[in-house]
Amino acid sequence: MTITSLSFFLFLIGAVTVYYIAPSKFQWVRLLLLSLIFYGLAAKPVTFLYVLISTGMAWCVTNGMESGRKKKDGAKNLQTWKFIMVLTIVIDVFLWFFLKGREFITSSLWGLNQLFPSIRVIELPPVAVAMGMGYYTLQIISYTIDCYWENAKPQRNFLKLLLFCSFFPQMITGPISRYDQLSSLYEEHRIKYVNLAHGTQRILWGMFKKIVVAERCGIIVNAVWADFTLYGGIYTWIALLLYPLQLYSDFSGCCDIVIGVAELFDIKLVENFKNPFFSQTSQEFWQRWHITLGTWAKDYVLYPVLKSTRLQKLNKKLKNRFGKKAAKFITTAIGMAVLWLVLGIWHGAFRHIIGVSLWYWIILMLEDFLKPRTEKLNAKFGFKTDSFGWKFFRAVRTYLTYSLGIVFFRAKDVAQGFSFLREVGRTFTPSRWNPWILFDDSILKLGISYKDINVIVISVLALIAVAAFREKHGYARNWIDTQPVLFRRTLYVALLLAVVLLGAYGPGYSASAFIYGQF
Amino acid sequence: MKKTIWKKVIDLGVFALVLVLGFLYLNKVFGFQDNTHSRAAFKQFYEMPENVADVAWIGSSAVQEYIIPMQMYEEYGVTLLPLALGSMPFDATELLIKEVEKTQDPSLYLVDLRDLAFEPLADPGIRRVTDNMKLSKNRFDLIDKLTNDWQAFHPVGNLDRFDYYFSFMKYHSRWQDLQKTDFTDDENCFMGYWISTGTESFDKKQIMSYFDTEEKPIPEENVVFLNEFLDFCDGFGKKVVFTCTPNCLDEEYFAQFNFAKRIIRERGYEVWDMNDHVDEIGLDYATDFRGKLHVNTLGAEKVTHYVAQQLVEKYNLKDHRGEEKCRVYERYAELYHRKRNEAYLSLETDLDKYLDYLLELSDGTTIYMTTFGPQGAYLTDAHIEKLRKLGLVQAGGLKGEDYHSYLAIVSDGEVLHETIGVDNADSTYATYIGNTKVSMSSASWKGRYGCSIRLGVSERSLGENGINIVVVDKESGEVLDSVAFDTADPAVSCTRSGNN
Repeated sequence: MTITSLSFFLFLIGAVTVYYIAPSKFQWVRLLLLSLIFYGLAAKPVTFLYVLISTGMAWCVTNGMESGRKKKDGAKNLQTWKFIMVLTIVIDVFLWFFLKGREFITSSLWGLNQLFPSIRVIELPPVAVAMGMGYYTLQIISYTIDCYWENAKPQRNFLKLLLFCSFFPQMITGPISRYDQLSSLYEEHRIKYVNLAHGTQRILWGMFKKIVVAERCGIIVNAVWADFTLYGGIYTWIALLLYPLQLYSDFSGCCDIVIGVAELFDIKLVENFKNPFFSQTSQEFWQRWHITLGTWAKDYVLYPVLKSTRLQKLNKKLKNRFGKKAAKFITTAIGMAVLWLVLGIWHGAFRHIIGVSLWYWIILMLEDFLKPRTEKLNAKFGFKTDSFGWKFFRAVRTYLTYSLGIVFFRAKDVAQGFSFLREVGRTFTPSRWNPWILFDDSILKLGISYKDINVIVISVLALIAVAAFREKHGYARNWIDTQPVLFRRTLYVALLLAVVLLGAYGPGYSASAFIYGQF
Repeated sequence: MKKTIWKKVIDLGVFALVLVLGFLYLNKVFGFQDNTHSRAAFKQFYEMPENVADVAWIGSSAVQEYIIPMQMYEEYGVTLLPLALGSMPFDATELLIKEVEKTQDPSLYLVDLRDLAFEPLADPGIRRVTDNMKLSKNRFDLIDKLTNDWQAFHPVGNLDRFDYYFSFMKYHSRWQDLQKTDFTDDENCFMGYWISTGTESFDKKQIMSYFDTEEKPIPEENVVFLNEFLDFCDGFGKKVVFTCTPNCLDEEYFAQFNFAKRIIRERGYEVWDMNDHVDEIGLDYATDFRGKLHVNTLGAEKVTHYVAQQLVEKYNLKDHRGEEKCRVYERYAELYHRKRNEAYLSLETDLDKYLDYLLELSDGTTIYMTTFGPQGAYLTDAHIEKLRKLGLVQAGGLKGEDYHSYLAIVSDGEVLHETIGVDNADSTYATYIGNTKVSMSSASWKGRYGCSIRLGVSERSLGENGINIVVVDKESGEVLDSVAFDTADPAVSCTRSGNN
């Protein structure tokens, strides 16, 4: 059962009814049961064992630490519990590696085999994986560490903690919530029209992005990637520039659905995207894209590394030798390298480390290094850095940077990624230069019609309009709420029609799974 | 507070109602559509008045393209109701009979056995039936039966019956292919029958040599379905006769028909194999078939006449002509004759027969005529007479070797304009007919500026030697035909665009 399927929406209608129809006391229990039912329908029920193990370990450790703190020899006790905490985190990570990280292990060995043929590639047999393992593992680790840091109070009720881990909308693609962000899970909620309306609108918007935009872009992207020897030249540029749009529409569309579903239950989840393609720099981009993963990595990887004793000592040494700026740059580079390595590993494939992580680490450090110099240059040449044109140029540059790096996310391995980039580069050579494909209907060979292309163009304009509105004025739906009822209803009926008529669903479509659902 | 809640509830209720009605309309527009008119066939079946049919005929295109119910009614007063669609799965027959029995009470059921010789098709065979049925328990039962039957014999294929329950799931993407018939009634379907004018010739002797060929088993699943249906017939209580309509299929199919016929006869049921009566029917294997599987309209008219005659003789059916509840047959007859004449008008190459069609179609059409070059050497008195019947009294002046320009417009049987040029003078004429600007010209001498029939901004005449005729449907403005007859040619050859 996917969250764009009719069966999910039937389940959701039943779930919302069950949630509100009975007295509001113990609503959280009903929510937990619904989450368990959802899990049973959407994944192999036996794999819920892993969720139970992770939750159980976190519950024991955090409550143990709490009672340890209160005891007389609290400090010594805490040290022991800290050790146990680290052990549970290691077990969580090990479980993740054992189940989700198999592909990473295999693809890493394969990648290393390309460089060092003596390294053997071992194919690990597949195992059933817990749904949303990448997401709930990070959630439970953040909860454990927050309790250790005393940023959160440990949850005494095991079932409540289980609900935090397994709240069903989040199990597909996140967002990765912190414990304090989901405290409303345990409160009593009354049915409110505004929640039902906003939730439904958000779900509709997410569906539009996923099954109208993302699936359509996917037709073109997949066709080119399936044979970029045949579809070389300009075709590769089309796929290169369209893939980020596909990925964004797919992932953020899913997040919209998830947030909308949670809103139906009067639970507010954190936003995971904030108009990333309006970013002026790559640094800003990663503050707007998959926000919860970025902040998680920042809070639980980057800052602890930067604040670690080793790095502090190194910083001091470098400061004395090279100066404050250089020392900061180098230590930041080391911290960022660790962060990007962790992110690359979390995405579960060797190509992510080489392509995505390495690429962005280089880009971000370059940006940091060049920033003061480019500011001087801009001032010297009198560039109008406040102008729309300048901002547009920077946004396009950021988009292009992202497009190049994300090639490795799309490629099946590192070699294919580089091969694709080579094709992209060769576009401007005489043998591959083929701009006529934009005019002679060749594009239709990719399996798409002009009507579909028109739908993509109009949809992108709609996405830009909504994003631009959000950038300046906040959520468009809040503004729509203030409009006359006929206008509002017409707008949402038009959106519903767009989803129902233009969506890629039903027989004849093999609806692709959410790209980020694999994590 | 209570008032606000009630206001909200009513508001949402109205909105929900609008959404539901909108969805129902969309479901209707985005329905099954293909070139076999199955959607219209079902729609027209459901629109039939209750208890009007004495005979129902269930089958595939072997029935749909063979039977013109309106003609049966006109000639013998027989009220036959076909429920037949291309590639209809045989195992749907029983439940389709139930569907018929909801609103009709025929005393005789004809069931065609043609498709027993073919492997059943999942799509579109099932969909042509189930997607066009009205929402009812019978529809869901039929979906379950057809999908279960299919899965039983095709375990590798996977049919999700959910997709059949909610056909919109499949057809929502038809927004790219929507056509006029998705929004309006199908003007080319007449009680299930649709006009086909294609022709393919076959060797009658060779085909007839297949009739008595040795049996060959039909597909295993069809044996099961046939026996299940015969079991149903045993307890049905009404007369069921099996039919096999004339066709030009290969020998192996006749072998399979013979197999099926034997099973049916052994169970005590009558089989009416029309292949054995092709001479009585009067079928011409050179002109009456449009392919191995189907007759064209010329063939269908002959088969219809024969079947109606036989039904009256064998089953003593009542003559319902003139009855109030049978007006529906008269209405479709009128529509059918018009469309049939329009279809054959645009194929006719003989001027004499062409003028007959023009006379039939003069009501409801506008006929434009212009001439170019030497016109009348081979115009006959019969041609002139028919032109006069159209109201063109000056057309007689065209006969002979002399050159004359000539312009004429006949609309709804009334002559709006007729000019014949004197002493080699050319003729021109411009006017508005309805909202259409009309400009016409005719040159008496070849080599001058030619002839023209311009409607709006479009040139409609072929500008060929002889008489150029353009026929336009008055209501829709659609050009039904544009043709030229070279009356200076002894053969009075005919030209249409695309075959110069």
